[in-house]
Amino acid sequence: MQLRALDVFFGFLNETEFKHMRFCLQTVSFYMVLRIGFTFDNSGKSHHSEVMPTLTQKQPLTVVEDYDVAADAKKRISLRNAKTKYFHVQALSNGSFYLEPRVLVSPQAISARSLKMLDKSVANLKKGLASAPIDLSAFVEA
Amino acid sequence: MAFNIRMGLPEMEALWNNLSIRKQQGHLDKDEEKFFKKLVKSLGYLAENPRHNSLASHEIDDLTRKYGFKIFQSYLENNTPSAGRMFWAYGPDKRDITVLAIEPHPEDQKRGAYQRIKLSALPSVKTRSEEKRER
Repeated sequence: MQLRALDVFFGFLNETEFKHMRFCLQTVSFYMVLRIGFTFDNSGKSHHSEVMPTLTQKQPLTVVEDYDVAADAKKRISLRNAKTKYFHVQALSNGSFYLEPRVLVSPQAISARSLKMLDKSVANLKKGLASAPIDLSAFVEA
Repeated sequence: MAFNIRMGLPEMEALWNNLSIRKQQGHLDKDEEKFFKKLVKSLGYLAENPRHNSLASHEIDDLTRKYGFKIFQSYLENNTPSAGRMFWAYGPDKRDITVLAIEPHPEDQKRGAYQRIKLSALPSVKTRSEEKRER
């Protein structure tokens, strides 16, 4: 039985013809997999091969260690083989704790508060505004 | 004195007024007393000679670029990790120096400040191709 491709698209096939068509396609694809090593990709991401992941893809998290701990008298627990010294901790309502590694901000960095203070002072200085000269004589030790 | 020292408006002026008045009244606590002593000493040096060795004054290029005029940084103490610093600029008039800000901010030094310490996220790990590109 010869089937035209258009019939497949427009659904002009009856049930028997459709089953036959599907069987033929499955046979052909199975043969191709066996003989040629060719596979059909239904994911829609055929250009992303698993062998060579792209940089934008997030690497899946894996469980490196799995253990139970008991909190001590002061309700502290120890982290084994923790790779960072500082963590951001979130205590969740269900009793879970979520820890994210952090690093200390560089001591040379200016804090947000000081930067805000600097912004205001500079804005006023540009307008020619500053306090009256201060008198240090009262505080300078002899 | 070679320079007039002025305080930036409004926060630095408010801070100076608060500290100086409380100092005269003898109401500064131990830490504030220490800080005020350092500040007065540094301001004294700054008024005499902004390039005094103890101040280790230097221009901060990033801030200069940001604000469009020269911003300098001087230290309030020596041989101290994370030493206190003050930021200043020349102006508004000739022979004037305006202290714009101090670091750490006085609020940061109060009790409970440890809880407000900010930590940053870990820097992103560079891939091999990025490292090669940088080379």
